[in-house]
Amino acid sequence: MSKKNKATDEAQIRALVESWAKAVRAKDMDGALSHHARDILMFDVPMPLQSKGLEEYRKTWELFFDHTPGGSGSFDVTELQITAGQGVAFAHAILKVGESSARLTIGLRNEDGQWLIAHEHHSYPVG
Amino acid sequence: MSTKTKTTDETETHRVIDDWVDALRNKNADGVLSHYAPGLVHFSLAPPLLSSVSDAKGLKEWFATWQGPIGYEVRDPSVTVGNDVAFSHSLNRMHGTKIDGTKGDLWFRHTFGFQKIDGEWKIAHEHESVPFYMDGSYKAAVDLKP
Repeated sequence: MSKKNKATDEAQIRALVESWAKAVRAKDMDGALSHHARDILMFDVPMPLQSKGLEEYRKTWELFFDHTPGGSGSFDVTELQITAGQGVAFAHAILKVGESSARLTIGLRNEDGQWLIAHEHHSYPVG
Repeated sequence: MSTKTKTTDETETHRVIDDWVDALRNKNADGVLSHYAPGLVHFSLAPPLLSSVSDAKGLKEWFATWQGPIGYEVRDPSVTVGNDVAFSHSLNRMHGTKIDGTKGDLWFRHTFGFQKIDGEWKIAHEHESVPFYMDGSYKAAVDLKP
């Protein structure tokens, strides 16, 4: 893959992640789900162990929206590093949720020229 | 990308996971580290049950806190493979007896990010975690079974 394509893919994924985080801050459910594959596999901070598919993924945001004040500083993606290849990419970042910092990993695949999030892993370290 | 190449890459990434697990079970620090890319970013669970170290000295010291081989299971690994980047997720279990006699048995969520470097799949990112209970205690859920 050319460097130009790689830079384009990274820019597209960065914009996608920023748009997703903005939707979460606005408690905009449609926006929060709009970049995701139907078969997304989510490892979230609260129970359960895993959430399979878009409907279960939606429930993780219903829970979060019930607890978050929303708005500025409520869900900011920082230190985002993207590794994009042809067709598949992953990214990791530190999520600032109010005063706390969580770890975020995203797995993406490209379908018909569009990047879709197929896996998310949100967590805090134990202890 | 051809279907044939994709199948080969899937097989190879699964083989990396298998070899890495074998090295962990057998406390082979160099074997574990041989699968990591330079600049690995590791979001780990805290010791003592899982190691947060990614250097040979630290890994050997941590391996020495276990009696005998370490039990390690990877449940249903799912790998998504491109031509030079891939990621995987699975539910993993680590179990065994520490040298002080305490037993450890933990299921946790596991994600790998892979990059193909000079024709070989390497682990560039690793993320291990357990979820938290939302019953008001906010305790880490270290007693789960899938």
